[in-house]
Amino acid sequence: MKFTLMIIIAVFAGQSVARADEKATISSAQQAARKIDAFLESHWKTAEIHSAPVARDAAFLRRITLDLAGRVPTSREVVRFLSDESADKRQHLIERLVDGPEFPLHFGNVLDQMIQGRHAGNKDFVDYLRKSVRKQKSWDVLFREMMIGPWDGDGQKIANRFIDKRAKNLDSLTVDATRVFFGVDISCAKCHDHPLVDDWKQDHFYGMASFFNRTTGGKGKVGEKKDGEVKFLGADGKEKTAKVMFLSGLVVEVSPGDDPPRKQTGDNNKPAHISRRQQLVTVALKERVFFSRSFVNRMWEYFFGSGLVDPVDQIHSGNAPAVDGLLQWLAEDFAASGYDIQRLMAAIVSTRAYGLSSQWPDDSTIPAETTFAVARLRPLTRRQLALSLLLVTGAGDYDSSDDETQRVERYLGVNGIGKIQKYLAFESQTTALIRAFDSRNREFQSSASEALFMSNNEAVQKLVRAEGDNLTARLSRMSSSKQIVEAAVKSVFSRPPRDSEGSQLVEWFDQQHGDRSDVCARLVWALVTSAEFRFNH
Amino acid sequence: MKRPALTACGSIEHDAHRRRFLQGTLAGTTAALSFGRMTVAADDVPNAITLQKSQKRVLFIWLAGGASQFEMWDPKPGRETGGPFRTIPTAIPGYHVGELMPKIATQMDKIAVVRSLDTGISAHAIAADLISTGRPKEAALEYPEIGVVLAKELAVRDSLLPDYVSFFLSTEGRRRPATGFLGGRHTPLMLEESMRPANIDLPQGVSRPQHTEREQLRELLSREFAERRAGAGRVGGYNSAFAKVRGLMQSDHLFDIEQEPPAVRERYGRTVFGRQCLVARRLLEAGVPMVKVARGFWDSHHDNFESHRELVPDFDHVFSTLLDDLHERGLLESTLVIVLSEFGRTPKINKDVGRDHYAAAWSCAFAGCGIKGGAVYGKTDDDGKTVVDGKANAGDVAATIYKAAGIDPEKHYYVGPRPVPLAKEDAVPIDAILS
Repeated sequence: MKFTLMIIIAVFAGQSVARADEKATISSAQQAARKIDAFLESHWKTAEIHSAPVARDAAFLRRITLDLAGRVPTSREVVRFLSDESADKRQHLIERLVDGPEFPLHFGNVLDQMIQGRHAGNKDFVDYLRKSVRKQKSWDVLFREMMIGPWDGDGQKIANRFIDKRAKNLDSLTVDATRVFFGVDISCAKCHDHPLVDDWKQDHFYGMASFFNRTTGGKGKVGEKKDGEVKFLGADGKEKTAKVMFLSGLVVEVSPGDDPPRKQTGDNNKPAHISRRQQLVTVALKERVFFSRSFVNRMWEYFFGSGLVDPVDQIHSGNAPAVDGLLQWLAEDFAASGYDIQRLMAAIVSTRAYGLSSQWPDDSTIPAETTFAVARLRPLTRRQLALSLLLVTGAGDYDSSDDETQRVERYLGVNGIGKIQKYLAFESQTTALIRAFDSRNREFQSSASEALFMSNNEAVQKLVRAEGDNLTARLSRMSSSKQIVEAAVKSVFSRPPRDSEGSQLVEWFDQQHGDRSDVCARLVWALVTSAEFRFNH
Repeated sequence: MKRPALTACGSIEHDAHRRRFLQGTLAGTTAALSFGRMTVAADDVPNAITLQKSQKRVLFIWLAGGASQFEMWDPKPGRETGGPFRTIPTAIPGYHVGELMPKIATQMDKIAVVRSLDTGISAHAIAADLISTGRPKEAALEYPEIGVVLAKELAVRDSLLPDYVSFFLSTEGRRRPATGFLGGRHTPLMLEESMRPANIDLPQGVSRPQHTEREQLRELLSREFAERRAGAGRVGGYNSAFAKVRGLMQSDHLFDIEQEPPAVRERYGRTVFGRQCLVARRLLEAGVPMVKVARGFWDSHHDNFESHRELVPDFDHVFSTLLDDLHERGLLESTLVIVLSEFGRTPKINKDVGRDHYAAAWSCAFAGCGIKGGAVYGKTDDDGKTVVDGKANAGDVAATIYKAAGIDPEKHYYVGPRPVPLAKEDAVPIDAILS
């Protein structure tokens, strides 16, 4: 723990915390949120549907804490939020979370998944992303750093990892870069013009490949050769030399635009004379719609469970967006904001739509999920689930930090060190659990092996068994079953029990035989394995 | 064999309490329904022998590392590439196999061999992907393993048993069947550490009735939660995964070969491979549609002949015993048995008396469901260097497997808007070995 603390101090000390314009960000995010809601309102009107009611406070707190901090709220946070009577408490909560110490830690992982896909999980790369989010780097800066560097600063070398992991396979580098950063899957246009999507021709596939075919790497060092063209067999069977062409059809001529070539230093981690990847960065930011649209659509998917265009790597003219005009407006707004990630997050979670209930009020037909008129159930990611499971059952107190940490915070004049410490300490315990959980693919599917693990594995039993000062131990010391049920539901579901539910659970509890702490353990098990805990709702 | 009943403890008192709780919580009808389902007794588990003799199933024997066709199905005696072993005649006139397979030789009328595989890739990981999915890797689409597709297609509705059990105890070349675009729901039950699946025993300190009551409470809370929720189907899927737990815990006896008569255990022998194949037979017989047994250590870059002298007789014994056993139980007609590797081994014998990876001319074998026993398909040249007749690739093998199991290889899945046929578009099933 001491060691971790030292590292955290180092991170803090070496960093200028510039948050002067945070209020401005929030209010401009508010305006954007209202605009988004206006698009949705008019969409619902046209579709002749109405939206679900606004979610209750407890549900909203759980949802947004999971989305922005990667965990469920603590009991103390629940009590504080539910008892707060101010009208703008949701807005304050959003500000606290977006600016809070846990958001970069959590969102670094989210970005890692989004960018690296099956190659995700490298700790150094995650740390690079976390630091970048903490420094409020914008999305275009991150993109540039991942494509062309600089890779020579402290902790910066790992920024080449997206390229490096794929450098030995031009197809996957081309396809992944195009999917991740531009929201387009051109893999079907490799052997022939895309059979299903009119937009994508072989020229696009090999045009995009031409930005990468000179790239070298695969062992931690990424470089670029000075020459080499992509050749391919056209549908007519004749060999062609590919044009260096972006998805928009823009062909890059020999001299690149805004980015002057770096001078050769002999270090092959630096881009070569006229780097093709450098040209890609220039052209992508000039033709900004692909770049901007892809990110906002992916963020929309993150917060709403599906993209405005879905799947998020299938943005093309034949795949209409769910809501007219919204994606385009969001993309323009995001670009105009200078690709400000925090502002985009704040805007999306400040919408009325994000705060809607996931439960339909009556027996009428529930609108389709793609209308965004009702919040959808989203399975927790493996990481959210593991962290939340440890948090709600855990012996540790996640809320308060020890005296030493508080002194350090006062000394440095920064808050949040204790939170970061706690987060990292909990995170280090999640590894074994994460491996046993189902990953959240596009279509989440529960496997029997996760169910078996939750039902019988000792690691889970240990969490729900009374031990030390964990939840079950605290429950077993309570005098009445009513108290026990209330505390258990509040801890695990982040809400007080509903009346009927409370009395039914008390009845269940009183009917159980055997050791009291074992009964508490079974109650806690049933709560943490129930769907209400497994999903964000 | 008597298995414990599934009802928690069967006491009237418990039932009454449970019913009261369920009725108090949910609308009466649903509660009664769930209550009824909860009390399915163990003896109601579909009895494979009576109910499912016609159900199709597949046993996939994976010789990891690449078994040598020269020492098994396609010997070249007397040639420079042939190695030291003699050949022996088989039940099929004119067809000889390596002398290390005397028992299989007598059973060749049940087996079909393809001696003309030319699959192109001779690096372990990529080749294993290619052969086990029947397709080259594609950047944006992850394909499921053939076994995963078979398990999905052959699954029995509402079965309490797993759809796919995969053994891979040897660490060498260990791979997990890719579920690809079919998703995590199709993850096989993996046995990597021991012959029993993980997490199928009651946890410490929880009795069977308590385990059941705990699950009932979980299910009930989940179902209450799902009411009027958008996307409640996902909760249904989540609950159905937990509903499998009971059946899986109950299937533990299937993994226990002590329950086989000593004579049967003796017959399969005491090798790990033998014991795994016996468990596999128990699983198939009980109605598990897809079982894979991987046997490692075939990657004989050194001392190829010594290692095959050890490995092939074990394979010969176990494989022939298995075919006999399945046949005697009337299961062979409905069970497709596949013997496959990622590639074969080089004609050239290297300086370490080994054979290296070779994908240009190698063999695989099939038996049982949909297979024409005794068919010997394709031909290599005198030195086994090239295929001279009946060239087949990985896609063709996949198409053959699907067709043998009664599944149309041209059937499509949809990944988003994109239609994806089970076998690669240009794959052609090898009809000559199909019955």
